[in-house]
Amino acid sequence: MKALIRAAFLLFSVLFAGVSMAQHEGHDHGSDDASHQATEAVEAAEHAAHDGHATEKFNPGEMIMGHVTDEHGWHLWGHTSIPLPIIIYNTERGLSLFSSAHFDHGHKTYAGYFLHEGKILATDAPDGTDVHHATENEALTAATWDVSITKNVLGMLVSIALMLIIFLSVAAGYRKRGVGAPKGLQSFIEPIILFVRDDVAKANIGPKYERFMPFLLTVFFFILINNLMGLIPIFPFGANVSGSISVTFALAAITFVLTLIHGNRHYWGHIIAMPGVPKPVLLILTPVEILGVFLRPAILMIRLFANITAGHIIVLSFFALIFIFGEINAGLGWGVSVFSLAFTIFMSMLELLVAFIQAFVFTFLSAMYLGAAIEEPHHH
Amino acid sequence: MAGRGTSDASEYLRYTGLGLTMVGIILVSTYLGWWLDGLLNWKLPLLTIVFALLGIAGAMLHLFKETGRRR
Repeated sequence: MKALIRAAFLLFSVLFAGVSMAQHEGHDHGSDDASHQATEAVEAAEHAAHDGHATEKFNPGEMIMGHVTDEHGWHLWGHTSIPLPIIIYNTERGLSLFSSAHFDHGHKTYAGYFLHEGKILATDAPDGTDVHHATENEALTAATWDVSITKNVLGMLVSIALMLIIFLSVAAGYRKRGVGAPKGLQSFIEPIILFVRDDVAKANIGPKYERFMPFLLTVFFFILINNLMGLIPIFPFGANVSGSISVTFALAAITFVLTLIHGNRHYWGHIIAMPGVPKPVLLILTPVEILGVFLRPAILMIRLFANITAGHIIVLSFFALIFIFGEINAGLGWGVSVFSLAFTIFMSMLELLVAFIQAFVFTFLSAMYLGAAIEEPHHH
Repeated sequence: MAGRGTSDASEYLRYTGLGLTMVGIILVSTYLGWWLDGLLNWKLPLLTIVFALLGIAGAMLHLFKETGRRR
């Protein structure tokens, strides 16, 4: 177990480095005007090539980010994608509800909106205008609230349905058989539930662990199932739900709010004024500890996001290699594909492990923070 | 499933966020100093330096507190 954990940690650091670089590249994209104009020129050229049915240059960055980030509509292959409902509330225009197919893969305007790099922008251009001729109405964009059912939202709904199917059947099993020998799915899930109870909740929270069990179990299985679903590349799986920073933000925020609510006098006493520490040192320590209260959930958020997204990026990079070499020479592409496939299989095996470890780490650390918040003082 | 193996795991897990928290403390305090320097508009970025050093001291204190004897 020790060796396993150590290996896993090594992996985390490697993966973390990878994703921070990828993020950096993504941010640089629109930062300065020159590069922005250059990108626009490239886009226009690509568009022209596309219209003329000329061969498109393979763009690995675009392919990878397209798979890893959220989108309006679910891309399947080539130019085939499943349209998803667009739900927009605009404080000026009111509610709009239509299918993402109207955007024609982001090429056309509809109902006064268009897609630009995955974001919905408002415009005054009439329906069906080419996006390259549509200008953004910035005031209206600022008044726009996009609550669409996106790829990630749909993926999350599927995972919730899956969780309901699993756990309602497990619950039915207990209702029927009581605490006797479990059967079927129940016997697979029971050890995991006991693992979360004994090694996560009891170990970190102590005798009052029971009231946090619903939260810890839900978080654990939600992350685990979404991690595993993200590894299956076929619709309706494969959305990068647990690798979406919005999702991990929400999960970490729940842990954060719970520690704030349940934090007792002892917990806050140790943060505001650590007993046994001289006053001048407290001048530095107290701000640091208050900062720590916010930093801990922030790190919880980043860790899950970075590890899962990095896993997706690595697998997609191996696939991108095939096409990069294939553009040089078709035979070379075929040759590389053998190695790419082998590495992808290896990485997928590793990701299976990471899927479990990350769910465990998130739940374990949440339990640890909750345990620290409700800990009663020891009387010496 | 409870066993000695998992207590080893928790020993490691307890400190997983420590490195990042220390970096976070230094970054936030340095940023704070830099922001305050922007308000002061002095030639010497004194507060950036002072707050960065305070951040490093704070990170070390945090390390001591977290790795010290458990209460």
